[in-house]
Amino acid sequence: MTAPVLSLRDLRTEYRTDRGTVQAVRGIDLTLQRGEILGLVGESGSGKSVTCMSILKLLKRGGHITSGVAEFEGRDLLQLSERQLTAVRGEKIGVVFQDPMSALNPTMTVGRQIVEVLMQHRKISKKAARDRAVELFELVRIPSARTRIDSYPHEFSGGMRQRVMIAIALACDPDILIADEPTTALDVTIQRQILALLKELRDRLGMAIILVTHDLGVIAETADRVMVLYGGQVMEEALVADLFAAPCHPYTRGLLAAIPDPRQAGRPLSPVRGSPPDMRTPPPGCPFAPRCPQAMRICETPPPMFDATGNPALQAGQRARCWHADATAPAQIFETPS
Amino acid sequence: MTQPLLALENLEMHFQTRQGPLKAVDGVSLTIQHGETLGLVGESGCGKSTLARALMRLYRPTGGQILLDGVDITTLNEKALKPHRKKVQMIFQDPVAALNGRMTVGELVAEPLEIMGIGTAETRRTRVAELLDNVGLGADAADRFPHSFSGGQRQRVGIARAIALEPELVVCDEPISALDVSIQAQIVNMLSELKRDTSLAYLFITHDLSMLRHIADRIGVMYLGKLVEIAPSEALHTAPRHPYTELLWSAIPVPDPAARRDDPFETGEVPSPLDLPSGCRFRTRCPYATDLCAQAEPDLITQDDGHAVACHHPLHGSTSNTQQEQENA
Ligand SMILES: Nc1ncnc2c1ncn2[C@@H]1O[C@H](COP(=O)(O)OP(=O)(O)OP(=O)(O)O)[C@@H](O)[C@H]1O
Ligand SMILES: Nc1ncnc2c1ncn2[C@@H]1O[C@H](COP(=O)(O)OP(=O)(O)O)[C@@H](O)[C@H]1O
Ligand code: SF4
Ligand code: SF4
Ligand SMILES: [Mg+2]
Ligand SMILES: [Mg+2]
Repeated sequence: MTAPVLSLRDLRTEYRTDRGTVQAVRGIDLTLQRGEILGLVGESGSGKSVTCMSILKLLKRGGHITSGVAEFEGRDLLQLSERQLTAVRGEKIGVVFQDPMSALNPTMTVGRQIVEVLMQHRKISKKAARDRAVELFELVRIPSARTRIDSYPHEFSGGMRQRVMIAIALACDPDILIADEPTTALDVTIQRQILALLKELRDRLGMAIILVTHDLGVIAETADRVMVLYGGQVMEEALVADLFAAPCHPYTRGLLAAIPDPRQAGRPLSPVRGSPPDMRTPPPGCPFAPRCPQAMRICETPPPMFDATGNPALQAGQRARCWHADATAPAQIFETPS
Repeated sequence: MTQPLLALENLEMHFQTRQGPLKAVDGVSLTIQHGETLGLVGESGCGKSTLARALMRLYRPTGGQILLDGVDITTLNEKALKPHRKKVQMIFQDPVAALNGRMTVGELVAEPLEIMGIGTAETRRTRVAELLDNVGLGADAADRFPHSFSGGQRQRVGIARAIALEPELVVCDEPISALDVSIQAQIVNMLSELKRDTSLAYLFITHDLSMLRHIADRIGVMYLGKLVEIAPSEALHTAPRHPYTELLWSAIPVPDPAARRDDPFETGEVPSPLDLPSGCRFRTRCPYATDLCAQAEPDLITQDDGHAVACHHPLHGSTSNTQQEQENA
C-alpha cells in the first residue's frame, strides 16, 4: 500500500469548561489514503468535529490537544507554529463547515473572499485570482459564475452558500478536504447534488476527503471507508461495503438496525436503548457498555482495537473495539455480569 | 365521511416584507381525521412551520379558514380561542430552547394544567407522575431540571407537556431532527405508542422522508407555499404523481452501498419565494414542463382513489388533471 496522505495517531483532545473537563477525543487513530473518501459517523458529541478541528488546531476556546501525532508530508501538524499552520490551512487542507453562513463574511462579496484567499497563498495578480475564482465557481457548478461572483452571501440559498464554501476550500487545490456535516443543514435534493460534487472532485482532482455525518445513508452513498465513533473513540472501522454487510461492533449494529426499513413500515422501530454518555465522566470500560445488549463482565475493562488477524469475525481491513471480536479470548470472559 | 378533526380551507399566510409580500402559505386545503397521522414534507423554507403556526393560531392567517371540530377558529380572539387551544398542542424541534431552565421537570409538565385551571395541586402532582411515566422518564424525573437531561430526554419532557391536556391533535415540527440517530427511533416509537389506545392525531413535519413512511397514514408534500400532492403514505412512496415528489424521493440517500448511485444530480435552484414563477411554481425545475405549465397554475385535484395532485401532467398513469377537467366540462 502507498503511504497515507494523512496519518493521525493516538489523538487526545479535551475541553476545559466551568462545568468540568470534557474528554472529547480519547485516543483516535486515523489514516487517510490519497483519493479516498473516509466517512466519520457517530452520534452528536461522539467527537467527530473535535477530531477534524484538532488536525488543523482550529479548536474553540477551552480546547486542548493533550497527545497525538498528525503526520502530513513528513511533518507533525500538531507541532507546527500558528504561522506554519496558516500556510497549511487553505493551501494544503481545505475545510468546509456545517453552517456556511457563519464561515462566510456577510459584508464582502463571495468573489472577493475567494480572491483574498488566493492572493494570501499564491503570488498572483488580482485579475488572475478573479479568473481562478470564476473557474472555481464553475467547478462547483454555480450557474452564471461570472455574475454571481459579485453577490453577497445572503443573496445565495443554503445549497449555493455551501458550494461557495467548497469553492473557497478548493481554491489552492488542497490535497485534503475536510467536510464536517456539509449537508446536514440542507434539503435532500441539495444534499445529493453536493455529495455528487464531492465524488466528482475526488475523481477529477484525486483529492482525499474526510466526510463527517451522522447519516448512514450519506455514508453508504459517498464513502469508501468508514470509521464509527462513540464516546471519543473509534468503535469500528471498515470498507463501506463490509460495514453494512458484516458489522461487528454492537453499536454499529444498533445504528444500522435503527434505520427505518420501508418493508417494515408501520411496525415499531428498533432503537438503541439508553442515552449517550456524559463525556465529563465517561464509563471506565467500553464506552458503549451501559447501552450494549451484549455487554459482559469483561466490558468494564476497556477493549483494545482488534483487527482481522486471527479474528474471523472481522474482514481484512476491518477493525473493532469490542471484546466479542477477540477470537483468542478464554471462554470465561464471555460471562454476562451477575 | 365523518367530520374531520381539522380542516384547512384555502389557508393563506402572507408576510409583508421590505422586498414585498412573501406568500409563505398560499392557499392550502387539507383535512386531518381523528386518530390520523398526517406527515408534511418539503424543502426548507416551503412553509411547513408557518402552516403549523398558523393552524395553531400563533399567527392570524391572512386568508382562508381553519375549522377545528367544525368550528371556525380563523379569526377568534384570544379569549374565545381558549377552550379550543387545549385541543391542539405543539412539539418543537429544539426541546432545550422551548423549556424554561429554571423550572423543574414536574413544574414544566404541570404548567399547562395550571394555566387551564385543571385539578388541585394534589391531583396535578399525580397526573404529572403518570405523564412522566407514559413518556418513559419515570415519576422521579419530576424534581430534576431539564439541563441535566440528554436531548432525547428533554424531548420526552416536551412531549409530556404537550399531551398533559389530552389534546386531540399534536403538531410535531421536526421533533426528531435535533436528536441522535439511535434516539430518534425511541421517540418515534413512543409517539406511536401514545396514540395507540386514543384517537390522538398528529401532524408530523420532518425532513426525514424514510421515517415519515414509517409513521404517517397520509403524507402531504409542499412546494413554495402550496400543497402539491397528498396521498396515503404507501401510494405516495411507491407511485408519486407530482414530479416534485418524485424528485424528493429520488434524492433520499439509500443506506445500502450496493445500491449506490454515482450519477451527477442536477435539479436546479429553488426560486425565491419573493419572486415566484408564473403558472406552476415547480416549472423552473420540472423535467416535464410544457407551455401550459408557464401559463396556468394547476389546481390540487383529488382523484378517485383519494390521491390528490396539482400538476398538468401527473406521473404514474393517473389521468391528467387537464384531461379530467376537459371531461368534466
Ligand atoms: N415572520 C416572518 N416574516 C417574514 N417571512 C417569514 C416569516 N416566517 C417565515 N417567513 C418566510 O416564509 C417562508 C416559509 O418559512 P417556514 O419557516 O414556514 O419554512 P419551513 O418549511 O418550516 O422550512 P424549514 O424546513 O427550514 O423549517 C420562508 O421563505 C421564510 O423565510
Ligand atoms: N467548544 C466546546 N466547549 C466544550 N465542550 C465542547 C466544545 N466543542 C465540543 N465539545 C464537547 O466535545 C465532545 C465532542 O464534540 P464534537 O466533536 O463536536 O461531537 P460531534 O461528533 O457531534 O461532532 C462533546 O462532548 C462536546 O460537548
Ligand atoms: S466491549 Fe462489551 S460493552 Fe463494549 S460493545 Fe463489545 S460487548 Fe458491548
Ligand atoms: S404542472 Fe407542469 S411544471 Fe408543474 S409539475 Fe406538473 S408538469 Fe411540471
Ligand atoms: Mg459536529
Ligand atoms: Mg420549519
